[in-house]
Amino acid sequence: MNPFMHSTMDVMQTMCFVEPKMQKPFLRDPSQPATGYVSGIMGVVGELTGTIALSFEKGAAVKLVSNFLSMDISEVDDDVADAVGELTNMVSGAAKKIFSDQDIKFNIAIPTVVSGENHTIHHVKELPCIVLPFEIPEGKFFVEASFKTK
Amino acid sequence: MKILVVDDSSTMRRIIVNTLNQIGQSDIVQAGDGKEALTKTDGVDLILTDWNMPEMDGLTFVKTFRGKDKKTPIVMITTEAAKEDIVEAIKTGVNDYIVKPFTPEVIKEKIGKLVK
Repeated sequence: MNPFMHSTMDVMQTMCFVEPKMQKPFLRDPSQPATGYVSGIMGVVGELTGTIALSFEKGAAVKLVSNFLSMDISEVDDDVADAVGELTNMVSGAAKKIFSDQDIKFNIAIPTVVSGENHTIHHVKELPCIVLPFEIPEGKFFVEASFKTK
Repeated sequence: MKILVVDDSSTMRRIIVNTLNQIGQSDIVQAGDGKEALTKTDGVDLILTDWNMPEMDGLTFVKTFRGKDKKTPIVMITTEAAKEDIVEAIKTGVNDYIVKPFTPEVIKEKIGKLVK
């Protein structure tokens, strides 16, 4: 999970100007509702196959996207959804680069975004879902990885 | 100078356009994917394009555009940062490459050189 930790920190520092604190990783049952209010999900195919997701609590999403766009945002709207998709793309892409440097190659798809209380993130069935929680003062966000090696 | 910005994310287009405005560039047209971009290349002096997009991805757009125009500079701005990806993009006709995440300074530096 180190590539995801590094890619998340890199993207959040460079594009959102925050230093999130990482908390203890945990396993999540993906049949249960997502941990955040708005989530970006991306498919992965290659030597790793599965899904990567970023799920944001409302407060974290609003703060991070406000910083990302350099404008004040007060609610989770279409701008936030688009930005969450782009942040998911960047974190996945930066992780892909780290894996690639270790000769683990895969392709990433175009992210989709879902939002609302108790939405579900559909990872590949029967694969474990590892969650890296991060925290900023305005709320938490979660990086989820669920995949298998070829 | 007329600049075409191609990205399926309105967020990224907004960030790139704001950065271009900061270096004095205001004649900017936008497209949400490669297919739309091909309809907006007339009179363009510089193209900034994403790679992963629906309908037509950035690499296909570059290949198609290079079939009729070998000179207009193209900069790929993308998360695709593996060495083989960069080599493939350059072989296809991309002149320079910016990896996401990026700081505004990187865009200003790379684009600043091309718009002089």
